[in-house]
Amino acid sequence: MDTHKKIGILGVGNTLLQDEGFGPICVERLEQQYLIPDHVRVLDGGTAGILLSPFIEAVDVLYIIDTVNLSSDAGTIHCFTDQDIHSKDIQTRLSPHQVGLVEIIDLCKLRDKAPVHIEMLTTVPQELYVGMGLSDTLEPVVDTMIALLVERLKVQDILLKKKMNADR
Amino acid sequence: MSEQIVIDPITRIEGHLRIECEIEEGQVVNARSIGTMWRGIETVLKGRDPREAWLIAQRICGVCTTVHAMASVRAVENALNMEVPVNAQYIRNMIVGAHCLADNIIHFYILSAVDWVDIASAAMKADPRKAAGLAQQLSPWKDNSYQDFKLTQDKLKGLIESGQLGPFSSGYWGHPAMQLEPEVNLIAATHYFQALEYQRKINKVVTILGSKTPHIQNLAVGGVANPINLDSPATLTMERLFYIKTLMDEVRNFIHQVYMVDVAAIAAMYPEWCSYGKGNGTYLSVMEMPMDDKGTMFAMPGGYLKLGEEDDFRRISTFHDPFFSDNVKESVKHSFYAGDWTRHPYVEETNPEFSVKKDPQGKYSWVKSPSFLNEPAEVGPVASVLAMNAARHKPALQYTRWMLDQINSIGSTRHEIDILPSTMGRHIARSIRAAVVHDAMTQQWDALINNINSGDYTTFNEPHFPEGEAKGVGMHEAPRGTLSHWIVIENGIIRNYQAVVPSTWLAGPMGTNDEPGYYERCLIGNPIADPEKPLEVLRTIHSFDPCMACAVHMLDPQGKEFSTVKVL
Repeated sequence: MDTHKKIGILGVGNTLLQDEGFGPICVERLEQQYLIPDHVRVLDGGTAGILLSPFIEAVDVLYIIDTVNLSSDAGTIHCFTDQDIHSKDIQTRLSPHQVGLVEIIDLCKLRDKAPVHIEMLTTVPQELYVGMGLSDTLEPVVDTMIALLVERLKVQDILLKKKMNADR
Repeated sequence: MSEQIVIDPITRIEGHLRIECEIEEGQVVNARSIGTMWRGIETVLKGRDPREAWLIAQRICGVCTTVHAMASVRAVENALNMEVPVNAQYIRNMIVGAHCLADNIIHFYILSAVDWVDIASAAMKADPRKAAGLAQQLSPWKDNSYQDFKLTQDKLKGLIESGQLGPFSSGYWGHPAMQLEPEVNLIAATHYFQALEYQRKINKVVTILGSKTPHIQNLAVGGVANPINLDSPATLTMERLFYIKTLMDEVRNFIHQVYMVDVAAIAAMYPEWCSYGKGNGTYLSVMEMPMDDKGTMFAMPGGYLKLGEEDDFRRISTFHDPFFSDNVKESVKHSFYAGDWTRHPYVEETNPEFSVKKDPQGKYSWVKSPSFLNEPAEVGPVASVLAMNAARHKPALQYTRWMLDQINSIGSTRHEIDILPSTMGRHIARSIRAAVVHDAMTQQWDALINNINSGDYTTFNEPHFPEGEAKGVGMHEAPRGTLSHWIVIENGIIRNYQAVVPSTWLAGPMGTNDEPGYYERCLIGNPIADPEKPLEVLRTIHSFDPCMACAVHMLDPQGKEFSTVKVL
């Protein structure tokens, strides 16, 4: 029987707006570099809204990789819990005509199906102009973010193993 | 982490919209729709391999991922004059149908219902026993019991008492324009929670067939990548197909017994909203769900309709019909792009030219202004339902009649099909179309099973790119309306790519002849009970299911701002 806690790693953002694609690019590289055990689920959520709720509701612990608009330097990493987000009344809209990420989590709570622990691991973007691929500032942050995720999973008693032929 | 930081949302899609409404004596007298962000995602596609365009195109929008993927593969296939195996058509069509139904359910219950339904009234004033009586009188739906309504009411009371309103925090409770009985509010609120379940069930069909969501992975120029092998568990098996059918059947009941019934009831109780938000009388839709390999036979018709003394309907008959491809144009006269031209998408340029100078006669929006036969046209479920009625498409005729009869039997105003192009009519049309789409989807399922049983497992034809130039259009009748992708390929590489999306047709600025854009036109005459809380403007904008975030600005005749409201 599977008694493991289920962990979700969700990368969100638009890969057509350079650094906005940070979340999806991080989860893509994570999957390229590491063997992902069955009870860890990884998803490139793009900019979808409510379509992400089945994924969110299926996990006990959720890490969301995202970009955030802060006044600090591009490439710095900032972590928030679910409570931080609510207490600051942040509206983290995924796609503006859809229900925002915070509201989706609220909806999951309303259905008593929200993860018990949610953390957003974010960085500040440098370039948001139309184009694919990350800016020189954010490119190295992907490895930092993956290392941070590996640390977070360690706390959850999960040791990720590197793939034999990982590209990088 | 310091405590003083301010956090803003980051824009995730291509556009942002600002709506300015000028108010005089309780109604909108002038409106402007202003796209505030450059949308130039198409430029990313230039120079790339046309076979991978759909993977990139489906990132244009977060919610309409599949529609851009679909239009993109069709554009390349159209340019190469390809045949697509019927199995691939059926599988794609089921994805198209499932995506549309999920989108329609989300649009009505999750995004629009709070414009009409007062959650506080449902929580505090409704009698759940009376609600059950009323709901059971209207529909045989299985989950309309006293317990269902009581449970929802307790949940809503808990939310209000805790002050954590979550998804309902944007509602205008107690607004004078809210007119439903408390029990109807409670019925709709209860179905809101059920809608979450059913949109998920139908989305599962997209996941199974598309192998991943939100971004499907199974498309290919020339077909689909789903191998059909009835014995292998890794491919599309009978077991999976029957599971899809079970999900479809459950969702059919929700559409017929909940969605259509609720829309009819709410429409009957807001009769005046069947006359606000009228358009200009021209409607454009394309056919959907091709049933043959060449794209000449379709499960759902489409075409161009001009309402007037003698209604004029012209069917669009195939994916190669020049009536469509010759007559779509975009103008930049009032848009922030270099020049003053009205051009066909194949030869358009996307060179931004922003000016901070606000000139009402000049350029004021980042959105281009599309036209068909040199006139603006409404796209979306109204256009599709009117065209299907004009084409005497049986399911459309039947469900249109059913909805009108249902509305007329509940309300005191008698309505006919001419109410569809209106704020409330757009919701009515969307629910009619959902029923038609569901029937068409069932037709695809049957056809796929029959074809597999006859021994045809083909799902893919290899594309071959000619030397020199090839151009094509990919048409798709998406949930928000007619979508077209236009591609020019040169020696196997993309030279030009344009996406003319439904929200551009609707949210665009004035056109070539300075005629108002579609939102601009439809907002005029909208009542405004309280300029600080412009619920009525939100109703009309939401009825189109806008694909851009927009902010509404309410202005007095001198241009002084009353209020600013985010439309989400």
